[in-house]
Formats: sequence, structure tokens, C-alpha cells
Amino acid sequence: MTTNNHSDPLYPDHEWLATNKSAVQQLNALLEYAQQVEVFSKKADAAFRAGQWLKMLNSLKEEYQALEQQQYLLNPVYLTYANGIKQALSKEAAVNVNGLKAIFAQCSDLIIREFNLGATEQIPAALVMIEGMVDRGAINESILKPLLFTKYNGDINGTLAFIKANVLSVANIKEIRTVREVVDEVLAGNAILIIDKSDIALVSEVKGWESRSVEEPDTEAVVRGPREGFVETIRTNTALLRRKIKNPNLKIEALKVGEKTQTAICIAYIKGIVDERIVQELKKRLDKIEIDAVLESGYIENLIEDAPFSLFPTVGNSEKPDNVSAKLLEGRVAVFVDGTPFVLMVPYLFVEAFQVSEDYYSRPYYTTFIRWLRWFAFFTSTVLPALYVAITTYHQELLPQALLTSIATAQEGTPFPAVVEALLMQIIYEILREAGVRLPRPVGSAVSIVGALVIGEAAVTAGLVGAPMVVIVGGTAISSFLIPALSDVNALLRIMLIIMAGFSGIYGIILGFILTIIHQCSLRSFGVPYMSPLAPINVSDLKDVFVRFPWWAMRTRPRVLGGQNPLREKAGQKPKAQTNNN
Amino acid sequence: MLRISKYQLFCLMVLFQFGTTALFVLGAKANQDAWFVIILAMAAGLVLNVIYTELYKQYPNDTLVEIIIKVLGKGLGTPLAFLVIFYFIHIAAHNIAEFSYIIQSTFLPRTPFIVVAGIFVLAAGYILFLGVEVFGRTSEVMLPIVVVFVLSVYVLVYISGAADLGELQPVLASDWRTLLKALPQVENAPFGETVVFLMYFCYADDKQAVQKVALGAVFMTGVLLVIGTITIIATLGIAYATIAAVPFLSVLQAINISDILTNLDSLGVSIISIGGLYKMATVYFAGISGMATLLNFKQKKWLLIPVGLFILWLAVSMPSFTFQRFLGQEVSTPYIHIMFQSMPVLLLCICILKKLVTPV
Repeated sequence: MTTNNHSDPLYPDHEWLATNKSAVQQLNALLEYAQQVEVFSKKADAAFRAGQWLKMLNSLKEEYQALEQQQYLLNPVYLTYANGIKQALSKEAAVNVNGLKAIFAQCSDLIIREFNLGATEQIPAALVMIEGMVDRGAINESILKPLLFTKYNGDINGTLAFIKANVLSVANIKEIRTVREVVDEVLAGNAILIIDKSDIALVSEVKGWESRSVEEPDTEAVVRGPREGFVETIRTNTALLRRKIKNPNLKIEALKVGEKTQTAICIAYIKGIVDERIVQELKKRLDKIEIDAVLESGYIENLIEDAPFSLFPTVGNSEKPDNVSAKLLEGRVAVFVDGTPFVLMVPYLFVEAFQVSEDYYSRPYYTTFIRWLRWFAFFTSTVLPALYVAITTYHQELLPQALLTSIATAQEGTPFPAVVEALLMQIIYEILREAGVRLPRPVGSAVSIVGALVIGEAAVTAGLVGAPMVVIVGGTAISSFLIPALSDVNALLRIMLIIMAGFSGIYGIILGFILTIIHQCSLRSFGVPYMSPLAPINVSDLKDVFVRFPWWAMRTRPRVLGGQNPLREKAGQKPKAQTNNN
Repeated sequence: MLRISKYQLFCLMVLFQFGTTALFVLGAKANQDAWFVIILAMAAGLVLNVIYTELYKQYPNDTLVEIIIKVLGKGLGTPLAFLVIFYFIHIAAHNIAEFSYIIQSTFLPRTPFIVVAGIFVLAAGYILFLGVEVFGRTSEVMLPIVVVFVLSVYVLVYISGAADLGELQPVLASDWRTLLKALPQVENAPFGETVVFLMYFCYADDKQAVQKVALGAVFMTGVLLVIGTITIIATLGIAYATIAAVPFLSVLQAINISDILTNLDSLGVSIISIGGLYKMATVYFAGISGMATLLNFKQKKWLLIPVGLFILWLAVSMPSFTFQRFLGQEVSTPYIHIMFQSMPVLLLCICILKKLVTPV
């Protein structure tokens, strides 16, 4: 027997139900169970009165357990009849409406508008929706108004078809037959029309809720390139993507995750480019998720990533349609989650942290220079404080005489050893950064001023920390802003390396560095080695790592992703200068 | 099935040979002509590697230990295989001891020896715990780091004007006997030790390319070593180069570019220790995988701990760095290395003879 511990009592889907479909059988089983309970309680009562209950304890216990098991099996049936949810819709509108009222008891946002169809026919009908999730204008103009003012002719089955064909001026209309579907559609933000004498309800898609408009995201700012960013509504997001890639091969598969939240999720990929095995693997991992709620794509990221115990992320995210489109065109798969502008992308490789969408819009030379700067900044921001600690503690001879003297003078009289000082400054910096993010905007500037004064000027003047340490921490912080995708990894690695440097100087740093690289090499993201195309090396993919080749030279998609159609463009795209012979 | 690509094999082989030897002057017995000894040794190394890979071609899916047992039979093969495994473990211990002494003496003089060596073993154990594939992949990242670093050190020495190529004169003044006397040691230390890769060849995904890769790696190592030896001798002069404990270190100390880039020795040695770590890990794994075959162990990973502890114990029980070098040069070379490195030659002969006697 499978355990149904986390199945929602509202939606009982039990194999017992599936195997015994007949309602008569279900009801008979329920009655039988009730009789057995009665018999059992009488027997127990009698045994207790006769004073023999000690003797009969074991047999009573067994019987009770059997009953309990039966109750467990029958529970879904009981719930079905109690809530009327799996049931087909009734022919009487009043029954359906009352059922819905019972299911949505205490839900003040449910609107049930009961009215009569037509001016003369007086057929009872009801329109069910949730306030705030539907477009009021569309309801009034395209649904209620035509329904109320059309003339209908007699027969009921005809009425439904007539309404569907001639009355409702809504783009998308569906017929549904069960209470459960009605509940789902209402919750999805649609309006449901229930008509008397018909066991079919009509769903009109009139979703319309307040949402943020498409605007420039704060996270991935660009100088050149599209400014639009994703919003919190999944359909808007997929539409933004579809507008970039106008191709039927862009597949957007929908599914629902989250037993309580029923969050909509879409997997987007381009058929013919993507490696199907990645799509299959992603679907397998998504199917395995059984969680009560999904409120942000981070939930999904945590549940599908390859290396949950690694500092390094193996699932990427982006807030911009152009970025996601580019990744899909390289052969990646995107996961949209309703309710968040952050779209996940897999497989995610280490080198992606150093690629920014703007790299592909500006000219290759400066981009290449910036790429080098990013690698350098990543290296400095992880190693620099540790190196400073190692040099001032163990290897003073590495510094030139003049520099050593000035550092020694500045550090003179500071109370802490270099490693403690470095850790302290790192932690204070992280606190300031976090405060800057969380605080309300008007207070934010105050924090930055106080922070700058306190950890900069005042701390040095008071002799708490040396000025070189402040310079190092500041430089490190600025460097880490160059690679925002890895900034959290960066902070943790930095602290780890400072500690190792405090223990064993440069030897510790190098060991920490080697171990980090080894760890990175051992990671995979959806089957693709995390460090590729660096290790294992793929020469053809290096055209987009440390340098960015011009578009006419980047003829192939990244091969490490294993796509089916690696060619991106035809040969001979390099523009030629034309000479005018005059 | 685990696989190593041909480039990864190349990286592993170069790191294994070059990583540790870059520190010393090889063939110092031939004085100024040490570089020529290296060329000779490289030629001999190429021949040896042809033999190794030929042996591998006879048994493309077997490790050295399996080949020994297949060729010599269980009775004779098993004890010999044990000796081979011990040989690998001995190289690992020797290597760790050497590097830990260098690191301890250069910048961690107050740290206990066992801590430095223990961290070394732990790091190597961690790589191997993640598997041969990861080992190969990381070598792809590490080789460029080591090679670029060492080459830039050489360039910096020349830029800072500390090197004088005149130190190499007289060129080729030694007679053949001196050259030949210096040869075996160079032959054994980096080039012949590639016998350990007979434990790795069977993981190669491109069986056809193995011979080419092995020879290419030996050649590349030879070229790098010749450049290195010439630079070291040119910087230090042959007299100092032969007595310096770690000549590469003295070269690093000679770098001085307008008083800003100076005293790079600690930085240099720690980067070079990547080479030591990889050499150690290579033989460590060879020892473990051989043992797993002999003892019928399914899970190699469990052997990492006891073997690692044993290596650490061996390394700690070696008395001193000088003794280390003495052991390496005067005992290992004429007796131990020769024996194990020429064994594949015998194996190949027996194998070919067998084939001739019993035609298929």
C-alpha cells in the first residue's frame, strides 16, 4: 500500500478509487464498513460489561486494526461524498452552486453571481470566479451582458452549444464536467458558467490580475542591449521569450508543482538544438519533486541541482529574456516558475559566470579585455586578502623594501594579528553589504556614509585596523562586483582562504586553491562537466571563454552541451570591405 | 567505465615527469653538459616508452599488475606484482618526504613535518577519492599553471640579468664516459618512471593514440627540462648548482626586477608543489589500483585510507632531506629503479616469445 501521507484531503486520488469506479460499489463498501463498526462497538461494549475484556483484548485489537485499515482505504470515498469534489457536475445548477459554496466556505474572495439567462426564458445560471484574478471589464462586457440580453430558444443542450458558439465573446472557451475541474479553473483565475439542466460547465478564460509591468531589472543592468525584464506572471514571461524566438520549435511544456500552491512551471527549450537527454533528465528531476509549496524558482533550484553540498551553483538564473533566449539557442533548457521573474537555466557551467549578455552586443575587442578583467577580478577577490595575511604573517620578504616599511608602519600598534583583522573586516563588510540591501532606500545612504566613515577613516585613526587592510578589503569588494553570479561563492571562498593563510601561509593558499579547482572539476551540471570547456578542454568552445570571437567567427554552438545541430551560421560571413574604383 | 582522454593522459604524464624534476639540476655529474645528458636520457626515455606502450598494445585492457600475472602466471606473478606495488608506494613516500622537507625548510620551519606531509596526503587522497576522471580533468587545469609559471620564472631570470649563458662553457667538453655515467640517473628519475602509466593506459579512451601521447609527453618534458637546466646552470654557475639543496629555489631568489619582483621563492615552491602533489597522487593511485586487483577489492576507495597512512608513515620515518637525496641518487637509481623499469622489457620479450612458441 502506498502511503498517502502528504496527499491533500481536498484532492483524494487513491488507487482504491481508481480500481472501483462504480458509485454503487463505493457506497455499498461504505455502508458495510459502518455496519462493521456498529457490530464491533457492541461486541466491545458487551465484553467490557461482562468483565472479560482482558481475555478478549488481543482479538479485539486485531479487529480494531482491520477496521482501521478499512477506514484508511475508504477515507477517500468518504471524502468524495462529503466534499463532492471528484463528482461529476449535477444537472441542477443549485446543487452545483451549493457544492462550490461548501468547498469555498470562508473564502470571501469567491464571487458567485446567480442570474437568469435571457430576458424571457428565465433559465437559472451562475457565474463563478475569484475577485481580483479576473478581468472585471471582460466579465461585464463579454460575458454577462451578452448572456443577459440574448434570446434563447427552448431546449437546454442546444442552449449550451448556442452560448458557446454565438453568445460569449471570449477568445478561449472550454467545457468541463467535474467539480474538481471547476475548482481548479476558478483558482486559476477563470470565470465558470454553470447553467441549470446541464451537467457541463463553460470556462471562459478571462484571467486578469494586477501585475508589475515589464521594466528594466535591477540585477542585470546593461549599457547596450534590451532593457526589458521578466515579471511575476508566467504567461507574460513565456510570451516575452516567444517574441524573441519566433519559431514553432521553441517548445514550452507546462506542469504543476507544489501540492498546496499548485504553482505553474514551464520548461522551455528549442527542439533540434537541445540535447534531448538534458530535457529528459530535467523532466525526471521535476517529476520527482513532492513539496507543499513553490514560491520562487529557488525552491526548484534546490531540488534539482546536481551538487547540493557544493558552494558552487550548478543551476543558472536570469531575469532577462534576451539572456534566456541566447542560452536556449546555445542548447540549454530554461525553467519558468510562476510568481518570480528569475528563470532557471541548465546546464550551468562555471565559465557562464564570466559571460554577460552585453558581451555579445558590443564589439569583441573591448569585450575580450573585460573578460580578462573579470577573471583577474575573480582571482583577486578570492585570493587577495588571504595573500595579504600570508605575506604579512609569514613571508615578509616577498614585498619590496619600501612597501614593506610602509605596511609595517601602518600595521604598527594595531591590536589584532593580520588573520583576525582580515576576518573581522570581511565580516563587517558583509554586514554593511547586507544592511545596504535590506534597509529601506532612504536609510540606505545613511548606512553607506556611516559604514564608509566607521570602517574607513575612524577605524584607522582609532588604531583598530591598519590602513592597508582597509585598502585590501575595499579592493576585494569592488573586484567581486565584477562577477555578481559568483559573489556569494566568492565571499565564502575568501574567508576559507584567509583562515588557511592564517594557518600555513602561501602553502595553505595554494592548497586551498588546488582543492577548490579539484572540487570544481568533480562537479557536473545535468551531465555536462562543470568546468568544461576548460577541463575537459574543448578547443572549439574556447572561442567564448577568455576571448569573445566576433559573430562571424563563432560558427558553432558550444559543443560541450552536446546539442544536435552545432552549426550556427554559414561559412563566409566575415564582412569584406568594398573598394570604390574612382 | 572511467575514461581518460588523450589530452588528459598527456597532461598527467608531463606533470608527473616535469612537476618534481624542475626543482633540481639533472645530470649534474656531467657538469656544464647536464643539458646534453638530458637530451640523451630523453632519447633513451623515448625508447623505453616505446617498449612500455608496445607491451600495453599486447594487453590493451589490462593494468601492469594484470599484465604481470597474465604473462608470468599466478605463482611467479603475484609476488612480483606486490613488489611493483610497493615500488609505487615507495616513490609516493619518497616524493612526499622530499616536498614536505622543501616546504618546511622554505617557509614553515616551525610546523611539524607530519602536518605538512599529512596535508599533502590528504589532498592527494581527496583527488583520488573523486576518481580517475576528475584526476585527469584537474590535470588539464594544473599543467598550464605549472608550465606557465616555471617558464615565466625562466624568462624573469633572464630579464633581471642574473643569468649568464657563458657559464655553460666549455660546451660538450666532457668525454663520453662522464656523460654515460650521468645518464642512468636522469634516465630513471623522470623518464623511466613513466612505467607507472602502464597502470593508466588501459583507461585511455583512444587506444590508438596512447603511444603517440606517451612519446609526446616524454619529448615535451625533455624540452622543458633542457631549458630549465640551462637556465639554472646559467644563473647559478655549475659549482653552486650542484651543491644547492634546491637549485630552482636559488634561481627564484636571483630574480630581481627593479626591487619590486624579488624573493619569489616561497610563492614559487608552493606552485611547484602542485607538481609534487600530482606525482604523488599518480603513484598513490597506481599502488591502490594494483592492490585492489591483487586483493580482489571491488571498492578501491577504501584502500585510500590504509595506503595513505602507510605512505605517510614511510615519509615521516625518513630521517632527513640529505638522506632523501642520497637514497634517491645512490640507492634507488642503480638498484631499484633499474629493476622495475626494465621489467616491462622482459615482460614484452616473454610475451613475444610466448606468441612465437604457441601460434594462434
